[in-house]
Amino acid sequence: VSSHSVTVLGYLLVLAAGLGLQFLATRSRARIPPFGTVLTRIMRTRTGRVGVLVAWAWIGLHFFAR
Amino acid sequence: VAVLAGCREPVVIILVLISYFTVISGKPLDGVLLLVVAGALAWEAGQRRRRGGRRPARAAGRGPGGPPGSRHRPGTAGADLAAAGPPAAGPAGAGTAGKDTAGKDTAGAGTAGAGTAGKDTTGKDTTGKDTTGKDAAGEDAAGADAAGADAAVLAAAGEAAAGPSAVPASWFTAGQPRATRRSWLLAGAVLAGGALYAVVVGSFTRYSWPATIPVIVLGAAVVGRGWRGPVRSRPEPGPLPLAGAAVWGVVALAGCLWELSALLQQPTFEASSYAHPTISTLTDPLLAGPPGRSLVLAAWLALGWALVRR
Repeated sequence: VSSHSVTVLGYLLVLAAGLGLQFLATRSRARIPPFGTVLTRIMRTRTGRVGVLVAWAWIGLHFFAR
Repeated sequence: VAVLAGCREPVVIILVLISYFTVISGKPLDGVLLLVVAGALAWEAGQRRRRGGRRPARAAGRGPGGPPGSRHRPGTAGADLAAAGPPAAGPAGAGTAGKDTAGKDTAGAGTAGAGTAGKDTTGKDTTGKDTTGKDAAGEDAAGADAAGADAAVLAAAGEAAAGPSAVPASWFTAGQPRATRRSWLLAGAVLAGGALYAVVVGSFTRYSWPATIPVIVLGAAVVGRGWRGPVRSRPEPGPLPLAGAAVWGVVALAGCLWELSALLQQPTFEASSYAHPTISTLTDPLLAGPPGRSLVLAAWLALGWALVRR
């Protein structure tokens, strides 16, 4: 197995873990809050709100801006 | 001194770290912009601490506070509704407000629906629905007309506060279609504008100035708008189960560390590696052509729209 495949597999595992958590949060009685609720909670304060929006802006800057 | 005091905020620390790694990866502009926001947040947080840590938009004795300048939240509206006593209007008006709100906004349904329809006007019932609601964002996905729902919530709260027969029931039935129509028009305009933005900006080469300027302008506008508070009322999410929330943190941290390890294994920070690709490297093929860029930009805009409305 190449290093490339292992690295990509790592990303896929993280993605799968996120999707699995969201599934557990919305489709089971597990005490896991859905991602949206966590986000709402983080964005309740100005610091959290601006932090999340800056992270979003950074994605655009990172992929498109010089 | 105020900036130093605010530097203890976790968000500020995270932004400074991202800024550092962005700069050493050969993107000084992004890093400087992040640092400016981190500094502003640190200054603001420091000022708040110096004032005694009071949060201006805190709902009186009802859970954690919202960001400064936030609007009246449905949860609070529901509590006010309960405190004002039984709903005043006759069945027609109350029923209309409750019905229109249901299905558009979970919190709205919880407050205006239950409270105004006169089924249960106790604070327990209305706030209970607010805080135990599942992911409100899910219900919001179809909420292009959420403004109308909010209007119904606020109108219902105002009706209850005003007392018996102070507001004609017809106000709600007449106002609701107008609000919905306006919401649909707004949603259509945003959709068309977003599509145009994605196509035009996506047609420019990556990292060129024509691509850079619109992204910076939009990003700054959204962050500036977010600084002033949420654009619409949201229910208080209530306390999160600590272990459950921590699991999300672990997954996010794992993703960040995995990306960081790939970055550190590149030949240099600016040269990508096939053996240890970062997410940026993996998305390069998709972003090589205008269709892929437009698609990613559209997704980025949709995410921003969802976040700014949260």
